Amino acid sequence: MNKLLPFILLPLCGMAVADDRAVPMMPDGSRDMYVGVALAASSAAAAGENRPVVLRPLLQVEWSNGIFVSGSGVVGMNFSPVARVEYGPLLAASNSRNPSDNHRLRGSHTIDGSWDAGGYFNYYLGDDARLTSRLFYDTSARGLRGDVGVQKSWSSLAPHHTFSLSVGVSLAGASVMRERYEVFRAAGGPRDYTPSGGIAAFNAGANWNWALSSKWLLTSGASVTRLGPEPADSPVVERRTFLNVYSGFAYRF
Amino acid sequence: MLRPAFLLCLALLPACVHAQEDADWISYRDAYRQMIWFEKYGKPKQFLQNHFRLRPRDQTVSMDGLRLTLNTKSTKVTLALDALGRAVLPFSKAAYDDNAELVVNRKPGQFKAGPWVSIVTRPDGVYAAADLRVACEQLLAYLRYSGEAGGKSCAGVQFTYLKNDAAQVQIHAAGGATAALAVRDGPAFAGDVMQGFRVFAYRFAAWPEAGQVVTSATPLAIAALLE
Repeated sequence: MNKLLPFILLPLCGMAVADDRAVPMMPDGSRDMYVGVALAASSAAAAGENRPVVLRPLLQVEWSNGIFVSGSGVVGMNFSPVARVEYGPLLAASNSRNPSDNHRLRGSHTIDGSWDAGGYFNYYLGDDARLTSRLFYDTSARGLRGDVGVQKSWSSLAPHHTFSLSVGVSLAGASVMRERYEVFRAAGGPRDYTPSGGIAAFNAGANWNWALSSKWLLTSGASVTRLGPEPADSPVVERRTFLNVYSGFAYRF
Repeated sequence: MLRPAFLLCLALLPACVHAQEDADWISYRDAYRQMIWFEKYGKPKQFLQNHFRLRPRDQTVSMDGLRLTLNTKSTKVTLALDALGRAVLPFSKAAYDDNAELVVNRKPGQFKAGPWVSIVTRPDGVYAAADLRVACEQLLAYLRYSGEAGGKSCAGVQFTYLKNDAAQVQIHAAGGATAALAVRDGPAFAGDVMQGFRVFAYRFAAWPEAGQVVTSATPLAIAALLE
């Protein structure tokens, strides 16, 4: 994964893998787990760099006690007693970064890969659509970040195929923006740049799941991200808009 | 190097799918999760029942010989289907943990499968009119909860019998007068492609609030009329 773009993670397998009605309602002591591997590619690399196709893990686990894990490094718990809404605490892994990692990062801040804590709230709109929202306290930047979005899926277009679309916007407070996008000339950067808080990125994604059996799943997707104006002006950012695609197999345990 | 490997995987895919041509499957876990909504529903539901239902997608699909089987690692259990394609789905931790499959002995795409809520029938065939109103409201409330009702309200309930069933449905008014409900041909539930059932619509607005609806035989199903 491009460490410059902590907001752009592999589209959360769990959101699309599971049925939209998937609330953690299962027999006591049971779990539902997908484990697999996907080939992923991104156009986020800077001009002149190669754009390798990389192997990425696919992971999604839900336990009957409401705890879940997703492949994008998020651990959470669902406290909602009803099916229409989901809410609870979240822990999210964040990428570490060092100015010496890449020429573009010169003059930027070092980022610790510490866990961020927060919560989420999802509301089901009916017709296999839901609103999603998350809010995190970024422990390395000591500031808030979050995202809101809408997802809709279609599962009856063809047997065993599920399509879903999502759009969203991610927001970040000034301290989170500064940690990621601030650059000092005195520290070796090309120029001084200090962003303020605001829109971190807009994103839109599509996902296609093909259940080959009750155990095997082929999951594929693409997403487009356009950075917000404050990140886009930073010297560490080379491309404002970029594409991620992936496709892989997962086994349902 | 990864790309050829991936293409090879893709090329092998149709082989896995082809093997299951004459039967379709449904993940038991997915079915369980859909069905458990009703079990966890906390509002009044004593007049309601929830089935796992196979609904034909079009009129050319026959119900004759249709079979639904729950296949776990160790057992195969045939789930009895009624004439409307409804089965009682067992809630089994073993089947869930096995990641079992529900197998339908038909080609993929002929049926929609999922939970189906209806009003419970009574063995004595005597339904208080007030209970039927409550039953309809309970069903409507449940559909609203699961996001399916879409601004409708209760207009009545409908009793469904097989085509060759000579059963009658009568209204017994509180004062002692009786009247027969009119019968017509139609589907058991709104939106069904399966036609040709004998259906009796009991519309609340057309009859007094007090009284009873008496059936001469147990209907296949009682549906809520939502309009």
